[in-house]
Amino acid sequence: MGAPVIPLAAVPPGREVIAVAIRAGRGLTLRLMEMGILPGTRMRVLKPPPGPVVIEVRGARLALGWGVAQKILVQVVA
Amino acid sequence: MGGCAKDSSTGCRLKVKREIVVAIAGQPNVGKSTLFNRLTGAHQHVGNWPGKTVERKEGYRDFAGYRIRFIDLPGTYSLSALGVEEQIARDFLAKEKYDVVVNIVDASNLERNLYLTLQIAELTPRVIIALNMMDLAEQKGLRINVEKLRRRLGVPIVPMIAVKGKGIEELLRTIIDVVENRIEPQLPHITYSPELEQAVDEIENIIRHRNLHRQLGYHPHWLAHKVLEEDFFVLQSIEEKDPDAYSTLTTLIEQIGKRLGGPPSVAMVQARYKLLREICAPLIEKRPVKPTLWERFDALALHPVVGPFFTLFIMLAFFVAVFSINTGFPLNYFLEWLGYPDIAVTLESYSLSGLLGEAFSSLAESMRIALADVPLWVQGLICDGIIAGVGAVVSFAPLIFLIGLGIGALEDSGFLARAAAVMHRPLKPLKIAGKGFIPLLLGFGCNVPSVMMCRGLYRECERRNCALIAGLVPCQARLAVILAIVTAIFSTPLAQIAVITSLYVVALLLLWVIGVLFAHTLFRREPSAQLVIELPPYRAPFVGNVLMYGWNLTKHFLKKAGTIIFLLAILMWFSLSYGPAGFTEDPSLSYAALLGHALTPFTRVFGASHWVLVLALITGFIAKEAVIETVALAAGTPSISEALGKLGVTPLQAYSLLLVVTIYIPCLATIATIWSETRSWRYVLLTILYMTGIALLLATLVYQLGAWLGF
Repeated sequence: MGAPVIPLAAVPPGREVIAVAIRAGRGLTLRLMEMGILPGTRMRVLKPPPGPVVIEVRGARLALGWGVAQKILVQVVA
Repeated sequence: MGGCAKDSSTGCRLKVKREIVVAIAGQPNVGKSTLFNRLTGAHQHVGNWPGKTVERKEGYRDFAGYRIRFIDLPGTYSLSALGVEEQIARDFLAKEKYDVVVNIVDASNLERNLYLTLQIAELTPRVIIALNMMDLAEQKGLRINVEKLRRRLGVPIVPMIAVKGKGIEELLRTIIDVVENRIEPQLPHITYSPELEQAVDEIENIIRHRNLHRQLGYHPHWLAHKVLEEDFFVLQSIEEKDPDAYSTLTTLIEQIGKRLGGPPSVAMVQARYKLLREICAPLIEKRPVKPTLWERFDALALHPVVGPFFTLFIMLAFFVAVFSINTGFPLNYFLEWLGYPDIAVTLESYSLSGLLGEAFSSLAESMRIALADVPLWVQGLICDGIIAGVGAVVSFAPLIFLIGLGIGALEDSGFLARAAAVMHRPLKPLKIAGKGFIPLLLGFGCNVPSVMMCRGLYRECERRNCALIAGLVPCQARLAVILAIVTAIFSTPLAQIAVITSLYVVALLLLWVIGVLFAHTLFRREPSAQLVIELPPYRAPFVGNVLMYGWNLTKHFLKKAGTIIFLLAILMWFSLSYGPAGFTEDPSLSYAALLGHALTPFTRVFGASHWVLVLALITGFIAKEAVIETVALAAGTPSISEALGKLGVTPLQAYSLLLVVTIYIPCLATIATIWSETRSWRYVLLTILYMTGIALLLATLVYQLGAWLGF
């Protein structure tokens, strides 16, 4: 678990990451968590910026704006 | 029930059915519309949830002696009141009377889908899970042990593939089983941490003590959960009803947050997902699968550079196809430009609206002959008022149906989600998500379907803002007026192109500025649109869904907007056919002309110095292309350049007039549609006022400045 904590927007494509924290306002945090992105959740980055960041989480594919992806802090695990 | 109780003849029994109400709940992209269409077939009714721009679908199915009424709740990821959809769904589940909830769940995405299930379980135990997309789960390499899941969750589960109609019968039978108490669903209770449970108890005590649950109409235990989650709508209504209790509760939540070391809402979402992981993990077998073709396709659709062009290309192809079938536009202009005016004319006259227009005018003509003996005003009312009014309404129907089919197919195939993701940036300052790009693009063809398509946006504020500004997109009818006047007044191609381009730039710039303005005034309390969107797998659109979508949209338009369009058309007929001397066939003797005369002293400031021009602007409200007809008719010549010459219109006056035509009041069909979509006369009035106001102001400015500069 020693990997550095970086924003999701900075992860190269194809890597698996684990969410560490969401640093967003209450509404957005709740929305992201309810869509399955919680601290501890494993996800895979399919497409990095520029343009929307696409991730796969809990079997679903989500597109996130750059600003949103910047607020999700993750650790690269694979 | 009473009347037939003694009569046992089958004929009567068929008529007397026990009615049961079933709510359908589910997350977006799980096949909810498909299920609803499969369950109800053609027996459905689409309206709006009271006071909201959210679609409300209701339908019924007769089964096993019951009439099952299905209410389709808005698709939501959760029941936390983040938006209007969530609020509607949960208020229905918390407050309305129903027998069963069918929760449709995507088998290929079980954990996240069951999150909603757990939230529904907090409101009612009477849940049936429709485990949809079993085929997709298989494709993704997932095998779900349905029997174990059924036992673990304690509710009936019906595996199904709604698109193929598999599992529908079993679902219906299960509904009846639950209604007749042969099965008693019992969802698992979520146990939160002892700290959270204690906090819920503390809050519930305050709620009961203050009688808040009675005042708000919710169950006290559920209400306590929502307060702990700091649910916006719940806290807001508590603040309204009982400010004292509100401040007690908020301080308590703050204390609890300190005790937990973070907001309780986060802990509660985590607790739900933890339970779901425990339930799902042992029941799902996963084997690796190769990435499918569409995954690679996404690299193109979402590419930062290629993506927008790709999206634009598909949308434009759709746009050209639909509008060309409907009116010949824009293919006709293209053909003319290529030097085939004959084909262009043929295309126009054989387009749907060309054929319909032909049919209505020949109907009017034959009626005129048949009614030769009745008073002229009756003839006028029937032929020019009623038939023309019905024609105006009906002529929109094929367009709306075609657009419904197209958008329905693009949505169902998963394409629209990509388009929304890739087009997110430009509309962000308007607090409109990327999806808003679609209605606005449609506006270049016609503002009516454009305003209707605002319903596809995610949030109430986006739909409203988009509907308010959609009228600013210069539609095809306005282009026709612009082209006619520009070619008549400006001689060089360069000047013509400059004028047309400037009008479009002004209109679109205004759209953007006004949109930003509304976003920061009317909708200032709404957060800006954040891009968080699910990209469902690409799939072939389900024909049943697409047809139903197009049909419902058209029906909605004819019923709601149609009535108003018809009434306004009659009103306009009256003002153009009646004058101080009674009925007249000469519009220049009508009340409208009188109004034109009366207004001319004022309209001089923006260059409309002849009353005919003012009358043309008035008739332009019926349909923009009427501006040209009026000018030609009143000047007594079919040639527009001659007519404008007779009226003494200078290039500067023409330009200022074009500015007004482009921006002022949208046509009456658009106005009627804005009403039928927003259900708010305030929005209608606002649209009329701001558009007309800006148009007149801008035209005056340009005219006065131009005159001062000596043009």
